[in-house]
Amino acid sequence: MYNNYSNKAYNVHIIHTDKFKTITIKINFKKLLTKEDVTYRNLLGKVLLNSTKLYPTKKDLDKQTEELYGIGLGYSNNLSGNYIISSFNCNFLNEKYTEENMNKKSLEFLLEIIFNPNIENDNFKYFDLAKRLVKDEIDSLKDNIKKYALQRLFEMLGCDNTLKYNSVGYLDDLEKITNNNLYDYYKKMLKSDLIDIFIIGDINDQEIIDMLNNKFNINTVKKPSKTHFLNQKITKKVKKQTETLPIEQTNLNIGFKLKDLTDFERQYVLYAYCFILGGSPNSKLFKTVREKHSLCYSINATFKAIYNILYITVGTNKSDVKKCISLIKKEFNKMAKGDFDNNELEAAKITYINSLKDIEDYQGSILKMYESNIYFNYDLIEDRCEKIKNVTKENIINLHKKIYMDSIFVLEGENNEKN
Amino acid sequence: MKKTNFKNLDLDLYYEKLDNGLQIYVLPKTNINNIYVTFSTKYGSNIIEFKHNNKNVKVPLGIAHFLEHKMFEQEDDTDIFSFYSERGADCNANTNYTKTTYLFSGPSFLEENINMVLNYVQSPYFTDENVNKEKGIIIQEIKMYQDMPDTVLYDKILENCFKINPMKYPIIGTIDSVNSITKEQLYTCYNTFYHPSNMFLVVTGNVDPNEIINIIKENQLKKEFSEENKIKIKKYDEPNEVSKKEDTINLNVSIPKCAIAYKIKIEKNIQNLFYLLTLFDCKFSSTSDFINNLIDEEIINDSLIVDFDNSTDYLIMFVIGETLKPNVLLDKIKKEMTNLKINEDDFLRKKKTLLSSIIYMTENIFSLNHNIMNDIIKYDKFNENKYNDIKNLNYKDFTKLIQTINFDNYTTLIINPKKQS
Repeated sequence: MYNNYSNKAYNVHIIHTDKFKTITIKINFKKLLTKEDVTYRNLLGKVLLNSTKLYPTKKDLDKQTEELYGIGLGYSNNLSGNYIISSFNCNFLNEKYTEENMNKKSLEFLLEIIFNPNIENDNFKYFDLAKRLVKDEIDSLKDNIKKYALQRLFEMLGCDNTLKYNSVGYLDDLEKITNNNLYDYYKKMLKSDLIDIFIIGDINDQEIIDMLNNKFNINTVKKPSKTHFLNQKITKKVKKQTETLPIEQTNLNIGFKLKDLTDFERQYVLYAYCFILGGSPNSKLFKTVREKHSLCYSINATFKAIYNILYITVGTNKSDVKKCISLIKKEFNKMAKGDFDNNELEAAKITYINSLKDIEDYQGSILKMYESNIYFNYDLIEDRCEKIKNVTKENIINLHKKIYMDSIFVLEGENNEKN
Repeated sequence: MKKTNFKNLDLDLYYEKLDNGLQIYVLPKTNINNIYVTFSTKYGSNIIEFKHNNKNVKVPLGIAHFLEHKMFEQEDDTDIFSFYSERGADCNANTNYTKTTYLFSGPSFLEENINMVLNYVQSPYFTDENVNKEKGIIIQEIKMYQDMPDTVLYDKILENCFKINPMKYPIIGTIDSVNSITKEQLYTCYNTFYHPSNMFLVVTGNVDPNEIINIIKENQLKKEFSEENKIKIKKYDEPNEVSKKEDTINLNVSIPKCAIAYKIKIEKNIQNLFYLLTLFDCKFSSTSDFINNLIDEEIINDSLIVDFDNSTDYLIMFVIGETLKPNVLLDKIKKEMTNLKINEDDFLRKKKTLLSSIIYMTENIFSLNHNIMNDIIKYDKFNENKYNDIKNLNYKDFTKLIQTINFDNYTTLIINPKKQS
């Protein structure tokens, strides 16, 4: 059961269920994204989750998480098309399984982290440490080869929009940020961001609302101005870039742009399309490139609907890149003629429907579903379950006409021909 | 069918052993939709020398994992992945040091799905052609792991911990060993370790235990199996000392990593494991003075990672960190482990989180299933008393136990950034 208790300053979404022994809370601060926000907000998360006035060192703060029966505490920055969403979240055992008053104490703890930072003379106490942590993260971006290769593809695809930004930050921005800047930024975030509070579990609404009225001290009135969705410019020529690193395996990523998708295509047809092309071990790409030609271990086709892109990732040998590209193009072009078994479309549908049942098994995924309903106007479970059934072969052939190959990025090893 | 209560956690576990020796564990959780089924053999990458037809055989490294890949090949060309995909289920398999597991999850078509996992795992079909075809795929998998610094770190540490136990080799094998595998060797391993009496199923999720056991029973009654053979695996007289005290390697990392691993001989039971985890947690988690001092001194910026492996008679405790001064950090950790004094308050707080971690675990059918599988592999039975076992942990036993352990037996590893050529 869903209840909305919104006021002019923030929205509260409460989802009731007694299926779980835990309670999950997520508080989202959202604004239109610019490049410097990424670094600012990563840094902000580091200082706020380090300590507070009440728990003045990391040690004190982490001890308190243990006192609250191992409450899981998190902060994340989610780049979502035109917006950046900074989320504070926690997951804890319902007090029925621990001791009285723990629900209240847990929410209080989360609010303490957001509203009562460890500040002295308008300066965050552990600013320097936070800066070192962010620098480490930026420096380590290349350590995860697959993620790094994908990021490079996004930079090519999103050269003129927010898709190109990584979610960790940039050294040039980091150098410029002073402790005072960060404090100003923090105050501005509280004041002007769009705020949504999501709570799911077996809880007493009134108790939560009273606490928020008491402790969630934000009163500014705000309205969203823009959609999350990004439009991509289509260019005819396919761009290609190659980079070399001292690694064993070559990562080949191919990016496609999507144009003028309908709501139905974006939410349902695109899922089925990707599933058939490269979304399962039964897909065209998996069967051809891996099973028939033994050129790779992993191959996948995925999409980011908010950004209107689709991409294919493969790990292979340097000398097999050409062959992979040609096989992938061949399989991709087969989609134009609807050259796939009807069973594959049925498999996509049933997998989708089963994944809806899976959503109901986890608090985090139920919460995410409501988030996408509120932010992207996506359908809720019942509608999703009905609409996916309507996807036809013709829908997939039509969608194919709106997909344009745009960029190829190859991250290759220095010498990886030993077989 | 035997029923045991998962003490203090409102869950029941059902157990049945079939005539052919196959063991079945079912844990119903009816307030959720999904169902998770695992079918495992007590055979992992650790077993490379054993008796087959009364003869000693030695097989190439990585063969258990290779066999796992090849089980998906069927004589009638049935595509296992298509089968599960068409039923909206996820299907996969994995191999570790001590077991190989075939699994699926999905809320519908339960009977068909269970029959399928039993049928394809119980019908091997290896040809020279399909064995050779798999080599290219697995070699790409090896290269993928070689580009993951954390995987390389664990493999290297274990290599340096063990002198003769096959734990010292990577689960997946090497490019050369994989290239040398033949279909005859695969059949030898299959026939030795995939007899029902060496295998077990664990089912967690929205199921009726009677229905599950009947489906499996009926399936097995239709098949003929050879007589149960006693499996004889080579035992290794692993020395207590680590095989290499220190090591340095270069990888594609930006910030150097370092790790220390303690090789500890200790009786294998859940209390001992919890006590050791608590000790390392008190010493090296972010609530310790030690870590906070290291951060103040700018030796590290983030917490250290504590992990363990108990696949053998030894408990290996890992501490892993990222630092520009790996030697300094390693020296500080070694020194810290010479002082084994832990406050009772800290001990009790850690115990509280251990207790709640058990409740969190029971919320997830995947964690529950893995927990049951691990118990069967490590202790040969399921421990339904986990919650009470933790409740009964006490400070006195804890301090007594940790005083008896030799923390001088360790290996260290430094991973430096590779220079780009």
